[in-house]
Amino acid sequence: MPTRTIVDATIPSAGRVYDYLLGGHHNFEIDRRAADRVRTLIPFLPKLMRLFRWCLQDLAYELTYVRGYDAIVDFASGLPTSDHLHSAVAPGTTVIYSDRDPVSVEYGLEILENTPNVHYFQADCRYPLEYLSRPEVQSILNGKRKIAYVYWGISMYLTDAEIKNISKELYDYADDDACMAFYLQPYDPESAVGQQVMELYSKMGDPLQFRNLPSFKELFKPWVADNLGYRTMEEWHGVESPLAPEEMHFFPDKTVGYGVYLVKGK
Amino acid sequence: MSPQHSKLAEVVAENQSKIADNLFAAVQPSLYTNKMHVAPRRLKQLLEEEVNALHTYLLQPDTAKVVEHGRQLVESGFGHQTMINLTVTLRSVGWQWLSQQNPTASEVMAIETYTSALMEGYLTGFEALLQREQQLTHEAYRRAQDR
Ligand SMILES: C[S@@+](CC[C@H](N)C(=O)[O-])C[C@H]1O[C@@H](n2cnc3c(N)ncnc32)[C@H](O)[C@@H]1O
Repeated sequence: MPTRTIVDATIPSAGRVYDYLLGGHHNFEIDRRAADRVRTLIPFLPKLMRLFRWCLQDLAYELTYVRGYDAIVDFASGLPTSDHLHSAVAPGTTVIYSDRDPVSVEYGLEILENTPNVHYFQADCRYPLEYLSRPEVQSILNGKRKIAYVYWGISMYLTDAEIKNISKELYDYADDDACMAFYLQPYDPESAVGQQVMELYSKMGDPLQFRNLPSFKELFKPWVADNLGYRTMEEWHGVESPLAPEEMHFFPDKTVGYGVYLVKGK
Repeated sequence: MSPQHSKLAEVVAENQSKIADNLFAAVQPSLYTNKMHVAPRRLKQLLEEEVNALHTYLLQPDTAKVVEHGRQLVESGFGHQTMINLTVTLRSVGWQWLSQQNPTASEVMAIETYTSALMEGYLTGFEALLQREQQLTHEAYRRAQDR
């Protein structure tokens, strides 16, 4: 994992590139240039990002109003801007954000300052057990009935072994009625464009990892998808794919990505 | 406050869902544009609220309220292109109706005034958001570096 952080404004950062491609303002010229290069290689990337970013509001609603979770622990949260989970959860829900990037944490703390029941910690999402065991997190979660865990828009930064470890640690830690919401990013790494994009992100210090649906399912075990299953982003939002047919070639599963609610299935 | 436009308000109320559908079709192309944070499922509802807001204005033409409403649309996640498509469509709906009537001068101006105030609010709201975010980012970097 890269040791550089988003604080370094002299080299592009994947987090700030993401922010820029979503129309945010937390980025520098160097990020915008990198983003433009990425966009030249994969012009549909902003659409893809938007599709999975839109899910955050749905997740908040579904987990709290529909499924009755009273706490959400969100990993690799990014900036908690006004479209993030806390803006759409049921009243009284506890939301704990985290990210490994110190600027996102500081920024988050600043904008969430007066928001009741919303917290933000610095943490590496690859080690959920270490994080959940921290006294400051424990003291917030203490007494919470049902906890939902969210890993959204992060699968591409995690290796197989890391996803496997996250699944296992959370499975062992969580209550039987817990839920883990996960966004899966498939892509064809073998394609020429895939290679170029991966090279660009590697230079930023954030190497990308892609896998197909069966591989994801294997890594999530023993978690299983709930009755909604692995929903493509198109199904999730009720939209046609915004990508041109030739752009779909980069997606081995013929979808830009999947969202899933993983449960213990006991 | 300008005089109310009850005839126009009636037309808007009667055609509420049709106008919302028109707006939805008009903003579809900008769904994936930069600065657009509204998920497709929420968009329909927000656009219905926009028709209601216009209706309220026609009955109680308070421009300051419209400007404030425009500012809030920034928070709702409407992007630039969406705002342009939205206001163009509202104006064209208004003109379509007015062209079949014998409108008064103030009726002619009503939707123009409304959409301009909405845009004014949106632009000032967007500028304020930019400045706020700039400040927050600056401070966050400083604190992260001081750690
Ligand atoms: C694409 S953004 C996703 C943000 C948000 N979850 C969303 O869905 O929009 C990825 C975020 O993951 C963070 N990140 C990357 N690797 C991480 C790790 N190992 N632990 C925690 N955060 C990480 C980055 O700093 C960035 O903020």
